[in-house]
Amino acid sequence: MSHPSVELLSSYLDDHLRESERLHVESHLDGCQECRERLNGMTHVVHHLAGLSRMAPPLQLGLEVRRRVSIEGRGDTLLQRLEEGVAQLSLQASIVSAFAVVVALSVIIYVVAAGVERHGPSAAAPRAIASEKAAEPGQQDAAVQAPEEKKDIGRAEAMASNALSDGVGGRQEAEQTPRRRADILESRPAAGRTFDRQGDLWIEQGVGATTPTIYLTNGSQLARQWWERYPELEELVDLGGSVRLRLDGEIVEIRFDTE
Amino acid sequence: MSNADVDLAERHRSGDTTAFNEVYEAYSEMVFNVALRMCGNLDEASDISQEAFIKVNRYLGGFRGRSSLRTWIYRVAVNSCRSRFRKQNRWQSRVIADGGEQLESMPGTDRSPEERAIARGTMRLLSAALMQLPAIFREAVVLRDVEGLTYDEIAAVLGVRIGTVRSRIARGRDRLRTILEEQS
Repeated sequence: MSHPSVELLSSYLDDHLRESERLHVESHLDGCQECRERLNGMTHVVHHLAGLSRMAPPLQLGLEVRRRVSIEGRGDTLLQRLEEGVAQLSLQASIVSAFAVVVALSVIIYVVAAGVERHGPSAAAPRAIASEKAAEPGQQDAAVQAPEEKKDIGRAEAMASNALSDGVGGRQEAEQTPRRRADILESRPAAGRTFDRQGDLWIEQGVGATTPTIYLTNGSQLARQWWERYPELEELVDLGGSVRLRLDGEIVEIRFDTE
Repeated sequence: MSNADVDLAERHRSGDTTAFNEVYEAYSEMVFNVALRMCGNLDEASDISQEAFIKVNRYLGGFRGRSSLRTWIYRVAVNSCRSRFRKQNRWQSRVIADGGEQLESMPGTDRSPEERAIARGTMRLLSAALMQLPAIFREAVVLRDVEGLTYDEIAAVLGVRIGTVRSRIARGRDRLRTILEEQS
């Protein structure tokens, strides 16, 4: 007489069997003391597990979580807003915005650097004020700097353009890049690389839309080896979705497989 | 998937700080008790819960409702336990001597003193036995028999097939049965 497996007995307890399986188990139990005792033992376990006391989380936990969230939350919210803002912009608006930021930063850096160079560290801060006071020497300096500022702007514009086209897949993909960048919801570092999230998929920067040649599930042995080495990579998958990355020259996609 | 869950995530994403507080209020007991049953220690459960909620705060904005928020938070909690154990090199199994003593001090009050004493003894044994299970069995048993999740929900939380869930629950229960029988 073959006894039902422990899986069948356990699933019988949960009423998680097909009708034919249930009938088979019940018919066997009628004539098998050993299996009845085994089932009773498991019933006892399940009953007591359900009765284990539940505890309220300590008050200190709530205070500490809120304290940490209030510190971390401010930065994240700002970052998220920036990311969302950028994602919603069209190509033109993105370039114009990036260009404006680069110009503003270039001017500020140039003005501060010039101030340090000419007046020493103690005079650097009032440099901007000097440009507002026409009678002071700073006005003349500003006029002299104008052509160089134009050069810097041109250089910065080129750099911004390169950064955009190199960000995903190189120059030949520059036409498609803006649409892809707009799809990127967030970026995070993991395993010494940077991953962009597009929907539920985290893609290593540079891999782009290349079709994977290998698919792994998050529970596979190979994936587990990666999790051991890079727990932050597993975190990306754990929190929803799949990860696509380059491994030994292959494009591998690791999926959180639920079925 | 619930619209309320997605709305909550959307509010968090847009900077509404009350959204996280609502999540904490709704799920802190759940997370804390999962951590407690997984690690068997109050202080450690508190640390794990804290890490779990920091992750929830960090990633809630990216929640898109593929699963329910409850399932997602269970997953974050379980993975916080795993991360913790992995750092301590004790993912596969862990035996603690005092697991039951610390956790089972409050049996139900609807029983006689004698019944309560027996129940308390059983609960202590069971709590300690739970900690002797390999973690993959313990996760499945805790989610099913302590938390009351369905097989489908457990599959989603653990990221494994239903058949695997069924097998882990069964083996975990059977091993607990054996441990209790040996000790009684």
